[in-house]
Amino acid sequence: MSNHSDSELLAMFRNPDTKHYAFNLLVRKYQERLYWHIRKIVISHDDADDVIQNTFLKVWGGLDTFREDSQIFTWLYRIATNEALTFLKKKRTKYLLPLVDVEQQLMRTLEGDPFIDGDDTQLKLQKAILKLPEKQRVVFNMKYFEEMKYEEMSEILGTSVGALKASFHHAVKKIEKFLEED
Amino acid sequence: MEMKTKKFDKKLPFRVPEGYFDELPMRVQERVAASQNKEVKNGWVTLRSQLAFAAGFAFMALLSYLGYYMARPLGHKPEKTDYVEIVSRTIYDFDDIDLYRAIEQKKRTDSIKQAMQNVPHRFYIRSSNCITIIDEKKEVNP
Repeated sequence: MSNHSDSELLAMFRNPDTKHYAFNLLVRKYQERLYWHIRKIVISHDDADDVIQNTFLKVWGGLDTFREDSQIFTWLYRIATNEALTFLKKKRTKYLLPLVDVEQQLMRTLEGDPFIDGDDTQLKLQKAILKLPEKQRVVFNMKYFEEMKYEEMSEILGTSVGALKASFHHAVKKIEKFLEED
Repeated sequence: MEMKTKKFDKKLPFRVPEGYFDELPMRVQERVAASQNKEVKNGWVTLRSQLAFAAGFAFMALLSYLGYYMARPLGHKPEKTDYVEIVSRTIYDFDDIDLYRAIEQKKRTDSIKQAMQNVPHRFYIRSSNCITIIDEKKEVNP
């Protein structure tokens, strides 16, 4: 794990001699958090692997122009979220699938992916989360699993704090209902 | 907001292959290097196509130029704008008799001008049936 601060990494990245080294450190610093964030959206490990590589490729291309008026962590999260949601959207358009079928596909992945091995209750919760609309699912995951602050989520998702609170509230209610019905 | 059902822990049911996070940075770097090579290659392809287009255009322009001059009739008469040709030809065609004629002509024109200057200028009022001279002015040369 890198001990360098984000500002130090950025300064190193802007120096052509240490650019690749700084980027490597940045990947090592944030890869796990970003991976799990993406994995919760796309479910499959292979898909998450594709998305995280694309995310870092975008980061490489945009880090030169990154303005330090926001945290690098929120910027990375924003790219990762967009990449993951775009990936699902592409999947839908590629196979001409309606939204429900993508959910079914993700549900099947949850049951058949070799890199999923939780207990029944964990799987039950994941299945309930998959029934939520995509954006609400992202909000729920960020708040419930990652315990992120609403202000940070607002910066990442470009949605107001009030709307996020309402979205999380509705998501919890829906999940509780799904679990009771199940 | 806390979920009512407390039995759900926050552990995820997902796992990754052994050593995945150790290898990921290297694979990302490989992707970055591949994308840079692709960019350079794309840049060269673009430059090459632009150069090919420019060369084709220059060739067509050269062909048009040569075609135009090759298709010109042999007994071509120079245009009025071909000054160099006109001047050089005029110099060789010039004759002393032409010079004398030009001097004669000039003298005649000057004498007419002189005579016209001595004629008084008359100012008229033109009415329906007659013309009245109201003033007469003679120009005096300094």
